[in-house]
Amino acid sequence: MNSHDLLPVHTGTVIEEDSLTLEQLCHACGVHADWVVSLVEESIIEPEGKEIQVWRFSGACLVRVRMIENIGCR
Amino acid sequence: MQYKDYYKIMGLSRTASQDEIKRAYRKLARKYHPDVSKEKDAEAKFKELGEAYEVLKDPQKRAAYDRLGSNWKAGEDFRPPPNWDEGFEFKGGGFSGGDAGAFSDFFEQLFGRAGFHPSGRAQHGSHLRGQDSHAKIYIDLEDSIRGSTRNISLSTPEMDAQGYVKVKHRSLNIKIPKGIKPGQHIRLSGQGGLGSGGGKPGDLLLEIAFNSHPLYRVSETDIYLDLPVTPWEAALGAKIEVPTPEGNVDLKIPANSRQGSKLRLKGRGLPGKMPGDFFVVLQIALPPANTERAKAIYRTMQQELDFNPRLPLGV
Repeated sequence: MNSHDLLPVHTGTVIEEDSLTLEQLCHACGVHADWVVSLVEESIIEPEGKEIQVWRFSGACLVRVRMIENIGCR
Repeated sequence: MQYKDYYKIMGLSRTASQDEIKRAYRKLARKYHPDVSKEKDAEAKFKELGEAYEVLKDPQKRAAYDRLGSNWKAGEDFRPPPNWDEGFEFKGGGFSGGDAGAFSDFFEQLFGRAGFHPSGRAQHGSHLRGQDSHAKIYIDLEDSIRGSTRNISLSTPEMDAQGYVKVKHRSLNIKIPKGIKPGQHIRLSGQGGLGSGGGKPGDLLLEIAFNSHPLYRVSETDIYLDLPVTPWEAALGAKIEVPTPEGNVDLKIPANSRQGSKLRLKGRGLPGKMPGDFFVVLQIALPPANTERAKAIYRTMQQELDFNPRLPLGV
């Protein structure tokens, strides 16, 4: 038996396309909402939904925000 | 505790745009800055202004503040209604400027007292949820086709009690859901950074990437296979056996197929509510002219077929 077999199996949830709220995106990336709003204003990321309250971000937006944050463009 | 009308403090209506808020702050900050202002109570007004701006410039804090309603009068005795902040998770979400310690009881009651971090990065105060952590994992196409369990190793830099950074390794068995696509994320609740002061841990977000496959390419939910065919199979049509991740299938090649033609097997891509398709891209392979017989056949074709593939080039 492999030692890995003894570990519990974690079942996660898949983040579906356009399912992250502004708050979830901010928490996931550890950034401020106003900075994310400025990225949207510059069309660097494009959420679904017109009003800020109903914005939904995709996994691709998450990757992009983290990339920009990692290279220090803030 | 007294209610504070942040819009009134900034001389704005409740419908002010984020730009108007920014402009009003700049104007009033110049007016009340204690170093330059000749106004009475400049320092108190400057602090009040900083606090109002801290809330109104942040769309989440502003939305939550707006939810308190507009019937409150400045200075009125105030208690936040129960569950007033339901659906907003910004506590400790960071203070990007100003002296957080100078904010009023009203502000603290609503938004908590989180630490101020000079970079402006969200900082967690007491009793707060841990940071979400991220990792990219590589899986095989077959893991997504059938669903599987994978063991992954994660290295996480952590600060020890002495303040030194140490890399902590851990191993996790995770379930790969059937039909997951490259670029999608799996969220594992509670597997992220530790919370502070008894706060819940953050989540672990795993970004999915696929290992390159010797036969197939994946694009979104579609799978592509480059299929070598002979010139006569392409020209005359044929029924040939084609590998797919779920086993071999018989595929009919239509007559007069061209190099690069795409044939679609509907619904045989990545599984899911909207399953992807499987595309076969024809690659016409030429038999080598390495025997007298083969050369004779090519010469016959040369003589018998009126064929100039460079006609579109005008030569």
